[in-house]
Amino acid sequence: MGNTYTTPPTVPDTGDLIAGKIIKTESIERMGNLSNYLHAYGGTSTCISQAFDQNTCVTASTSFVDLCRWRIPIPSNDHTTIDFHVNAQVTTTGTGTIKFTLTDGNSVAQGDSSISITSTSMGLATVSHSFSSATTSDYVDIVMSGKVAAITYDLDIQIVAARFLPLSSPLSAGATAQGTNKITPFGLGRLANNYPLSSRAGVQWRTNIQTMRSRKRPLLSWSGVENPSSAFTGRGKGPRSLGEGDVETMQIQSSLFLGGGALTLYVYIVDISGTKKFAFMGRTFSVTSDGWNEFSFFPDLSNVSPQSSSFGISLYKIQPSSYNQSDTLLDNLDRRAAFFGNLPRITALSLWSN
Amino acid sequence: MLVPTSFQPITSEESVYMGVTVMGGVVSQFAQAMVQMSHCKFLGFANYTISKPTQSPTFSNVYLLTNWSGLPKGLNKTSKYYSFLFGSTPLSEWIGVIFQYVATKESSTNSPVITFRTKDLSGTLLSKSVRFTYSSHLNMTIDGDIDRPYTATTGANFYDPPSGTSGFDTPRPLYIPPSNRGDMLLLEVEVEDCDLVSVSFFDLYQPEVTP
Repeated sequence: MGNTYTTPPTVPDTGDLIAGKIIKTESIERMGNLSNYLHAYGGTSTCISQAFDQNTCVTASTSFVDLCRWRIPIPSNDHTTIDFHVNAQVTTTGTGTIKFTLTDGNSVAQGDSSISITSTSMGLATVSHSFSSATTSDYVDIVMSGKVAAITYDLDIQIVAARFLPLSSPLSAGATAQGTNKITPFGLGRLANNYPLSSRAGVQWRTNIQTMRSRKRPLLSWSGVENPSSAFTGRGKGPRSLGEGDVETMQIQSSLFLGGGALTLYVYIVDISGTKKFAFMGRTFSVTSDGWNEFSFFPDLSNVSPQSSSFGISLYKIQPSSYNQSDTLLDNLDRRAAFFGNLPRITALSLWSN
Repeated sequence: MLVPTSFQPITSEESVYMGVTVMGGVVSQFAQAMVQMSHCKFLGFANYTISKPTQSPTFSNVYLLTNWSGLPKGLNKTSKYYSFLFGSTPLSEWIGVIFQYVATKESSTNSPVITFRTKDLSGTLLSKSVRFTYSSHLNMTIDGDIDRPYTATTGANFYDPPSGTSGFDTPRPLYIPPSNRGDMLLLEVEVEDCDLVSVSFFDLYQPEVTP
C-alpha cells in the first residue's frame, strides 16, 4: 500500500480510541492515511489572491517592469510546484507577457515562468512553475513583472492567484521536512493487521502533528502596483502603497484558532528614513529598514467579527489599523508618499498564521 | 466525530515510548489533532482585495496612488465581472462568502445586484448561481456622499445540493459538485449598480464529521 492516502481523506472513529476498547486496525490505518493526506494537501489552497479593477494593473513597457511582489509560505520542502493563474488581456491586438520570478528565503533563485497574453478580452491563463532546485526555506518571494511587444497598447491584469500543487499519492518513501522540521509519511501496510502498534508510529504521529500545526496559512497577500504605465491617459493609477483608506476597505476575514500562537507579518518598505510606524490588527510596529521586514504578534482572539455568528466559527478581520501620527507609514491625502515617490511607504504586505 | 477548532495540547512524547502502555486517549488525541487540521485549519480559502483607481477628491486629473480614504461611488450601470480563483480541497463542498461593496443611490432606477457563479477553469457553470438583490440582501447609500463599504454574507445554512445550473437561488453558500472538489475553481462575480471592494471565500466549517 505504500505511503498512500485517499481523497477525501478517511477519518478515524474516536469512539474506538478510548480506554478499555480494543484499538481497531481500521482506525490506525485511517490515521496513517489522514497524516499522509495532511502532508500532501495541507497549505495548498490559494496562496496569492489579489484583484485589480480594469486599467489599474497595467503596463505599456516593452521591457519587463516589476508590477507586484508577494512573500508566501512554502508548505513543505516537497511542495516545489506552484500554479499561477491570471485573468488578463491586451487592450488591442498584440502580445503581452507576464513573468513570475521566484527567490526562496535562503536567497536562492528558484527560476521564473511566463504567461503570454494575446486575448483582447479578459481571459484566464495559467502557468505551472517548478522550483529550479531543492529548498529548505519556509517561504518564497515572488515578483510579477510584465511587458508588451509595442508601446501602443496595454497589458491589463485583473486577477492574480496561485496555489502550490498538492503531492500525489503515494508520497515518496522516507522522512522529509518542512523547513527543518521533520515529517515522516506512514506506510499503511505497517499499520495493517498483525503488525505491532509500535512506539515508532506514536512518535511519528506526534512529530508530524507538531510540524504540520506550524505549517503556515497565508491570510493576506497584498501588493501595490509598483511601476504601472499605460498607452492611455488616466490609466495605471491604482494604489502603489498602503493607504489610510485601506483601514476601512481592507476587511477580509479569516479564522484563527485558540492555541495557534503568533501571527507572522511581513511588510515591504521603500524609501525609509529614520524610524517609522504603522499599525495592523490593533498592534503598532516600528520599521527602520527598506525591503521585507518581519514581525510576530499574538492576535486579540476576543475581537471576533460580527459575521462569525453566521458561520459557526470565529472569524477575524485581517486589516491595517489607523495610525495617524507624523511618523506613519500609511499614505494619505496630505502625505502623498506614493505620488511624490520619496517618502517611506509600505508597498507589499503578507500575513500568515499557523 | 466532533471537529475541534482549536489546537489542543497534545500528549507528551514519553506517552508513546517503548514499554509504556498504549492508552486510547493518547491515540484519540492524535486523531483529534489531525482532524482539526484536515477539517478546519487546512480548509480552502481565498481572500481578495480589489485595487481601485485613486483619483483625488479635489482635482479630477490627479491620482494619489494610494487608497486615500473610502472609495469611489458604486454607480456601475452596466454589469462588471470579476473572475476570482479559489483553490478548493477534496473536502470542499460549500463555500461561504463575506464581501464588501459600495452602492450609492443617485437615481431612482439604481438597483444593486450581485451574482455569484461557480465555474471550472474552462468556464463551465457547475451549480446554480446565487444572487443578492436590493433591498432584500443589499443596502444603498442614500446621501451620495463618499461611500462607506457595506458587508454582506452568504450565511452558512446548509442546503440540499442545488439541482441543475439554470436560474438563481437567494443567498446561500456556493456549492461545489463532488467531481470538482480539489480543483482550482473560477468564482465569477457579476455586479450591477454597485461595486465590489473585497471578498473572502472559505470552505464552511462543519462541526461534526461521520467517520
